[in-house]
Amino acid sequence: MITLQGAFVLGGVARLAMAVIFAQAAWHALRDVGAHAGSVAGYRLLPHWAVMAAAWALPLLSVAAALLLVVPVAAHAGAVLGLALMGVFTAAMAVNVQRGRVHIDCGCGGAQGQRISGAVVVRNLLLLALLGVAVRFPAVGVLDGVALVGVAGGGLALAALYFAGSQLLANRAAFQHAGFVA
Amino acid sequence: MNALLVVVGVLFVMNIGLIAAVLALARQVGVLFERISPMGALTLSGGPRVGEAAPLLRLRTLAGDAVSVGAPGVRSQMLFFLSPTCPVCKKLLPALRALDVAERGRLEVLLASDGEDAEHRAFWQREKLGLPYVLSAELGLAFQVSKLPYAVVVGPDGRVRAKGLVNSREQIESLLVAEELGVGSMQDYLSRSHAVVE
Repeated sequence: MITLQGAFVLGGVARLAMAVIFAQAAWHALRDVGAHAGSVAGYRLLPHWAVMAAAWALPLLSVAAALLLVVPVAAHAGAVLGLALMGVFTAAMAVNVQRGRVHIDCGCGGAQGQRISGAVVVRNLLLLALLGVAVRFPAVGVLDGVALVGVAGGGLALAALYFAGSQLLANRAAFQHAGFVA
Repeated sequence: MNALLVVVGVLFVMNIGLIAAVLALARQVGVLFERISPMGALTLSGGPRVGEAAPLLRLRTLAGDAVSVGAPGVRSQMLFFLSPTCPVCKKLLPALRALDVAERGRLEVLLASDGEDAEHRAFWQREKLGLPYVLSAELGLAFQVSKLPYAVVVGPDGRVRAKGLVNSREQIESLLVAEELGVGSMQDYLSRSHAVVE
């Protein structure tokens, strides 16, 4: 049986990792909204008049999710918002992979020049599972020293692992695209 | 308790450090690959392959002239797919004009797009394009153009000689070089030279 503090640590690790991941994705998109709009248009799911609005709204909602996730009292709302956002991203990606449009830019941060693929959809499903953990294990109680170090270290390590994994996926896609096998 | 805290902390620092190192390595691999990877126009799959006959289409330009695509003739044709809303396309227009002037004897440059007639006519006049401009959804579908700006070179024999996504003047030129060398794309060229090495 998991203790209250154990649950806090488990959920906390998931929340911190997802906050960092959402923040990086939003930063990536907001740094060049024009380019991000190009990525959004590439998914071919929105009418052209809605593309620019979505290119702004999605990263801003990601910022909101990231901020809510790290505030204990708002963490649950942040996790639910994150779950909704990530669900939308993953569905949009899955639809385009299904259509065979795997050459389009992911527009999702993580790694530079990431294209969408089945592997990226699986990656997103893992993030959805992580958000599920964040929803399931709420931030209740107070953390002692070890737990605090655990949340900070675990969360940052998980986020770093995500960036490294994304970069490796992006590299692999680039190799395959150029006809190299790796 | 205190020792545990220190141990956990140190382990996490090492852990994050290792992951950061993996990330840095992966980044370096990616950057190195970008440096050495194909620099020519990127061929996307779909549409007639290089060497296959281009679909034969008879079209009318915005100026009202009749043009045919894929018909055997004297000159090669470069079809440049663009859209008024694509910034990279606009950037490449001067290069296309220069190309049209320099290679007029052997190359016909044709701009192609689809959509509302008025919008394209306004764009054509605003940019003072001066190049033949055709509006045809059929043409884009025939070559399965999925990303812009996209260019296709059709030889005088009506066969596709080179095609690809073009983001720079160099990439447009790479298509013409590919046509001259008889290779479909830079990737094609690289895989052939790799085959020789192996």
